[in-house]
Amino acid sequence: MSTFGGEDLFGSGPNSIRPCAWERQLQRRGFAGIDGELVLDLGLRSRAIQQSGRLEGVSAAAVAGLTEAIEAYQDGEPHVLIDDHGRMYASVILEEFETTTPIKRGRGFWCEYAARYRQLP
Amino acid sequence: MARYTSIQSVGFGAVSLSLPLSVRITRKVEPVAGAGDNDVFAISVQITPVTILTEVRTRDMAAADSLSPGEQGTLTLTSGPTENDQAGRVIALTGAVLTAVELDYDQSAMAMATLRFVAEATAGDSDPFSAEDET
Repeated sequence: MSTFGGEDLFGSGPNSIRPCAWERQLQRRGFAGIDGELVLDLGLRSRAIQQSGRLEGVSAAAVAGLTEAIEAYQDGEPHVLIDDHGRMYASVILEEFETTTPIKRGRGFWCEYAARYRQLP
Repeated sequence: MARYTSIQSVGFGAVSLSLPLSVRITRKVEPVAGAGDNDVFAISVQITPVTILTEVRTRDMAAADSLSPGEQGTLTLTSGPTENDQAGRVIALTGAVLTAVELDYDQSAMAMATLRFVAEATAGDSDPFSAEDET
């Protein structure tokens, strides 16, 4: 079960989490007539983590409540994100959260979403 | 339990489709399955809105020729009873949109036309399909 900030925010439906590459800031300098380049390492910065999934509820209001609970975590504070495999991502900030479909009615009510986190080293 | 046999008439809008062979009305949804990172099997199956598909097979080639895909009207079907003291069945599909006209001419069999329809509801909660016994 995936959690964010110790809370089961995504358990109503399926979801998947994909960490992107760590970003390292480099300054590169080249000199005319000289092979190679000078690379100045400015340090490890951060990496994005992508999540997509589906929120499900017994009513449209229940689904809206789930989205609001997730949006409440857009507080700029680092939290711990744990995916379905139990892999833990520490110091994670929720940068963006959006529903990618309107609330639909099928077996119950549901909508799909995408979230983007930023993990600090 | 009432049973029905022998299609008595089929019409689409103002066009009467004589010599009907069969009418098949299918009510279906498409599944939207989903799974998470660690799942082998789908843990959630949602469904799309209900679609009512109808297939009419007829020997009336001239009537089928006169129809064009995209036309919309009410599709009606009357099926006869199996017993004398029983009523027939009247089925209506409002907002039926003709999506395909297939004309089959065969070397050794009678020609047959297949008409396919999808029903459009006037509102999301109004069923375009209705069926009742003849009065």
